[in-house]
Amino acid sequence: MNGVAIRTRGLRKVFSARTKVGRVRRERRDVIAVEGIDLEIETGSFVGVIGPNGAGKSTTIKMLTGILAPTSGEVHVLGHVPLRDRTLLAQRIGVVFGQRSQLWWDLPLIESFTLLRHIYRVPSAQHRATLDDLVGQFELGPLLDQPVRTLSLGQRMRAELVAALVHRPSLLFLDEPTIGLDVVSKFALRDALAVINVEHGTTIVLTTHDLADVEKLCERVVIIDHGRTIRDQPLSALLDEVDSGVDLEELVRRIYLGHPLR
Amino acid sequence: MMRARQRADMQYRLSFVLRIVAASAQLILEFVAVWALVHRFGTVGGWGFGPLLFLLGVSGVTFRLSDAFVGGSIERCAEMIRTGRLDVLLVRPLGLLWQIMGDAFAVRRLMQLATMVPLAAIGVAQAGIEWTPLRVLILAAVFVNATAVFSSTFVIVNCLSFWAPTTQEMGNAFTYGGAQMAKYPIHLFDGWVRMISVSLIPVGFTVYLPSFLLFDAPNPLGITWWQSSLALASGVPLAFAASAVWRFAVNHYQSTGS
Repeated sequence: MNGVAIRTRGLRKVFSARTKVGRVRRERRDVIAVEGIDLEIETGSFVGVIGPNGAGKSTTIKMLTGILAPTSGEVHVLGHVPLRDRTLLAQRIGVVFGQRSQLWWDLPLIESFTLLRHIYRVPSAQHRATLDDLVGQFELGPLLDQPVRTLSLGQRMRAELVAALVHRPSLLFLDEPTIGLDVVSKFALRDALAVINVEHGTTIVLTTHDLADVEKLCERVVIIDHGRTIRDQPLSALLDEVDSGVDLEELVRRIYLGHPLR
Repeated sequence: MMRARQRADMQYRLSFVLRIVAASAQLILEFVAVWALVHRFGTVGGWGFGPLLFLLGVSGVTFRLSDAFVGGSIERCAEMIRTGRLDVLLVRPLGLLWQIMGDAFAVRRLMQLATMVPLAAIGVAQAGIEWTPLRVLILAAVFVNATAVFSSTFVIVNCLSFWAPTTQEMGNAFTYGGAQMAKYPIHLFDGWVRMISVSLIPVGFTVYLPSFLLFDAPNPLGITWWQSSLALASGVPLAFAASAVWRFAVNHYQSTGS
């Protein structure tokens, strides 16, 4: 089955910011964060969203998850309008923000998972099976009784992922999940993500600055800059645009800078 | 979630004990303050010890109840916006307001509530209420209504933080300041302060106005029974207003970078 998990048409987001122009006078200025994004993501695919800082990646993710209201344009995620059906959609998606935690800092890790079971109303037996499965896969077994604040960043990211997956979402958003991780943790996380995508058919949308994430995991790459989609193609097609000696990092640098690719 | 919050708090045991001590001290101080006023002046605005304690206790219980479950949590909203915590709550399948209430719940506020309960009990007993079944209902309605008024005020005031995340202090002036006003007979205040108490900061509606339905106390403002009755229902429109403002605010949430 190849349904469409995400579809957007002319998605825009304009923030209004006030800037100081004089001692008390403030000027209202519109900042365009996302300027008309059209996206179509198939069920079961693994898509990497990259772009320079401030390009509009996170804003786009926030509109897809119902956190932010789009200024204009259409969004459908799993058939829902995210902002309107926020809680319904939340039941079916998982979100990991690399820079913010959804675990309970002072409690043993296992209790965060138990709390999430109640929040997502997962039946007890099903929860136990899913958790056993995920804990094994992410090697969290020995850490379950430790307070979250004592976990290392790598351990915590794995825990965050499990937390986002306990309700078995069919769509997973990952916003810079590998930020700050060492090589070993990064590799472990990537392996686990690949397994989730393949075994459970979970659609995964990943934003990252680490192009190795994209290279290892994503079959398709979306490049966003200045709030627009400037590339949206299979990874292989993107790599075909340059001579074989040029790696992805150099390729993307050239695209960001607007340099010729060959 | 509230239980989790409490368990997390209990990880720091000494501060828990200290809070119990502080809360008990507060109870004694509040009681002594009223007693001293009455002892020194006989009455306050014509109101004796019983009615005054009724005002203090009932407004205290309802305010602390609102503070424990709504106010104290929702005032963390600004901080949650700044830290991005709100984003995490927004991608969970529960109403945002409920989650904020649970997420920032603090047991110490329940203790502050507990300290007010004896004051309210003595106040109700001493206010000179001639009990009828109807008055029992009215008293219950006073509690429900006042809690609704205080909670709604908390919600509305804190919605400001969606646009200006540092307006906390101003918000506190409305809510905690309002609670201070609710402790005294409104006719003590003159002119514009009195107007504020039934408009901008609607504390007059919480206990003072409805109290004339319960006992005979000096009524220099000539509050009529229907004004008292209207006040008793003021929580309903206020709660609707609060929920509308809240939904508007959440839909205009701008989040933070990254």
